[in-house]
Amino acid sequence: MIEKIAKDVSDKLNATPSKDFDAFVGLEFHIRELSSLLYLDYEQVRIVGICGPAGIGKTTIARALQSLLSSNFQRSCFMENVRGSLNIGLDEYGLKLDLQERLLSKIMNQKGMRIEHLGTIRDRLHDQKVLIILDDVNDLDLYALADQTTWFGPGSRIIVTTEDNELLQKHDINNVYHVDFPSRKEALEIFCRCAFRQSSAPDTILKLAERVTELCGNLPLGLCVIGSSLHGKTEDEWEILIRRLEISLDRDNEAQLRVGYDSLHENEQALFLSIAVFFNYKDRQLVMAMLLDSNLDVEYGLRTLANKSLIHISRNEKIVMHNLLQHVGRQAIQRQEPWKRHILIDADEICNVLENDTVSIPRSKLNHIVKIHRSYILCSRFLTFVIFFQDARIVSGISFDISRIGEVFLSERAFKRLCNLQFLRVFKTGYDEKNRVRIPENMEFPPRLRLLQWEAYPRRSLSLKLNLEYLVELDMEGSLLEKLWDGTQVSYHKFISLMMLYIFSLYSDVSTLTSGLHSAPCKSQEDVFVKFMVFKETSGSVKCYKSRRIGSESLPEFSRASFLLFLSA
Amino acid sequence: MASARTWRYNVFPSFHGGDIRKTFLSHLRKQFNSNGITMFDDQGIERSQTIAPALIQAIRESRISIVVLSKNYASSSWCLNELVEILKCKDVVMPIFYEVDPSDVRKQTGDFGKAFKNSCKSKTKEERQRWIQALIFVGNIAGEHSLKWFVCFRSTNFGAFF
Repeated sequence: MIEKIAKDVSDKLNATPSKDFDAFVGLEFHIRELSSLLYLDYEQVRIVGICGPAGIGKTTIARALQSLLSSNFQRSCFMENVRGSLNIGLDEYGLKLDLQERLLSKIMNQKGMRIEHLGTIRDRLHDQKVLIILDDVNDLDLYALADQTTWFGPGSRIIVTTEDNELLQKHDINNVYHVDFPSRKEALEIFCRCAFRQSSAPDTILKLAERVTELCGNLPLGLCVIGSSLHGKTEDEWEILIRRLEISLDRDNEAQLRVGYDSLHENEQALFLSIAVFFNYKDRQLVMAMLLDSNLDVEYGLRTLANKSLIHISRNEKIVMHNLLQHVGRQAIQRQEPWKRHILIDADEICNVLENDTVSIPRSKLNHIVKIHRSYILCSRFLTFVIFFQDARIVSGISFDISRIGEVFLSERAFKRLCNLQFLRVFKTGYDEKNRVRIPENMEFPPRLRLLQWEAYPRRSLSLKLNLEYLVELDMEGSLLEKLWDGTQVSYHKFISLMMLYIFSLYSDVSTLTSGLHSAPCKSQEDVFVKFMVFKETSGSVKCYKSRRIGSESLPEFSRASFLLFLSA
Repeated sequence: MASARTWRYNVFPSFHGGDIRKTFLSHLRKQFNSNGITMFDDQGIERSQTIAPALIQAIRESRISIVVLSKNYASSSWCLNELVEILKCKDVVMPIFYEVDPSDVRKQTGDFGKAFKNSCKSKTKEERQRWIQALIFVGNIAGEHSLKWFVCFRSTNFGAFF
C-alpha cells in the first residue's frame, strides 16, 4: 500500500510542467483557446477536435496539452500515428479490435492486452476519468476508439487531431479548434529559434532572416526545416539558399521542405529516403541494424537529420518523420531519373521489373538510346523499364502498393536480377481479399534481404529460398502463411535467435543471445525489436495472427501459443 | 506557461502527529526515502495556534502536498490552518483518507465531524467558514481526482497491514 502511494506520488512528480514545449512559438495562445473548448470543470465527457493543415503543429499542441493536463486525469494516453500504423491484413472488425487493444494496452499500461469484443473499451473505461489523445485519425479510428461518449467516465476528455474538418463534422464533434498559421512576427520567431536557437536574429543577419522567412511562407514545419538547415552557416550559404528558394517556382508549402531535402548531402539524402519509404515510426536500433554495412554512417546521419528537423527521435527511441516530409521523400524519388533510382515506389514501374524477363542492353547502346529518344523517354513506359533493367543491380529497396494494380505474375528470375535488394515491402492500402500477385514455384528471394514485409502473402508456405543471413525483420501480417519453410522443424527459440542475430551482433555476442532466450525473463531481450509472428489457434486451423514486439513480458504468452515454424535444412 | 522553478522538497505532508507520526507516516517516509522522494520534516518546529512562518515557507517550497486525513486531523486548528494554506498555494494536493470516510470530511460528520466542531469553539465565523470550505474541497478531490486512493485506503485495515 505504502509502495503504491510512493509510486503515485512519484508519477505526480514526473508530471511537472515540462519545458519541452517552451520553444514552441504561440503555444500559450493555442492552449488558452483550447482550454475554453476543453472546459475541464464540465462533468460530462467531451470530445474536442484540433484541425489544421499538415505541418502546422497539431501534434505538438496535442502533446503539450497532454503534458499539462494528464495529472488531472486518472489515466491518460497519446495514440500517435493512428492512421499510419493500421494493420491492413485485417477486416473492419479485426481492425477495430486491433485499435482498441492498442488503446487499452496503452492506457492501462499493460503490454499486449487481448480483447474479444468491441464492448471491452466501455467495460474498462466507463468509470475512469481519462484523457485520450488520438493523433491523426480517420473515420474508422473514430468509430473504433471514440464512437460514444458513454464509453468513458465522467469528466473524461478525448482530443482528436486531423486535417479533415468534415470528418469531425461527420462524428458530431462540434468543439473544434482550428489551428491558424502564425503571423509574420511569429513566423520570424519560429525561424530564428531553429536557425539561431534563440527568439530573434542577430542584427547583422536580421535582413537575411526576414528575407528567408518571407520566402518560406508561414508553415511552421517548413520554417523549422529551413531554419535548422541554416544553423551555423555562413552568409554566403544563406545567399545560396535564398536563391534556391526564389527559384522554386511553386510557392506551395512543400517547396520549402523540398529545399530542406535538397540541401542535404548525398548520404543523408539516401538515409532520408530510406526512412521516408521504409522506416518511419520504427525503432532506432532496428534501423541501425537494417542499414549496417550500407556505407552510411547511420548514427551520424540520424543525428544530422534530427538536427535539421527532418526527423524526430521520440522518447521511446522511435524515428518519426512528418508525413509531409515523407511525401517530399517520395516526390524526390519520382523526380530522379528512372535508371538512377535506388528505391522503387511506383507500382507500374515495379510491375515491369518483377514481371518481365528482358534482355539487358549494353550501356553504350543505352546511352545512345537515351540521347536519341530523350523526348520519348519521359512518356514511354516501355523505354523506362528497358533502361531501368540495365541497372536493376542498384535497386536496394522496393515498396510495392498492390491495391491499385491489375494482376501481376512475378517472373522466376525477377529477384535474381535484383541481387542487391535489401528492403522489400508489399502492402495494400485498402482491405480486400483479392490476391493480385502470382508467385512462381521456383522463385528465389534476393540473397541480401534485410526487410521482408509482405502483407497478405498469397501462399501457404515460404517455399521459396530465403537467405536468413542478412534478414533483420520478417513481417508477414495477414498472410495465408502456415509455415515458413518446408523441411526440418526448428524450435521457435532457434528461429528468433536467427532473426535477432544481426541486431545483437551490434552490441553483444551471439552466445548470450541464444542462451538468454530460453530463460525468460531476461534483461537483454528487452532491447530486441524484431517483429515476430504469433500463430494463434482459431477453430482448429492455424492462422498467422499478428506480430508482436518481443520482450520479456510477452515471452510467456508466446510459449502458450502454438507455433509452426520450419527452417530449411 | 508555468515558469520553471526548483523545489526544495518533493512533498509537504500535512497530518495529525498523534494519529500517524509513529506509524503510517514513518513507513511512508521510509518508502519515499528508498524511492528518492524528498519529504519535508517538521521536527523541531514549535506548535502553536498560528501557523509558523517556517511551515509556510516549506509549503511554498514543496512541489506537491499530501494531506493525511485521520480521525483527529480536524481536532487541531493547527492542522486546519495548514490545510487552508496548502490549498491556497498548491496545485497538486493528494488526500489520503486514513480510516476516515471522505463524505465525513466533506460534511464534517462522524468522529471526524465531532473533532472538528470542538476545534470550532471560540473561533470566529470567518475562520470556521474557511476551514469548512477547505474540508469540502479536499473531500471532493477524492471523488474527483484520486478515486483509487480512496478505494484502497477504505478497503484495507492498516492495523492488519503493518
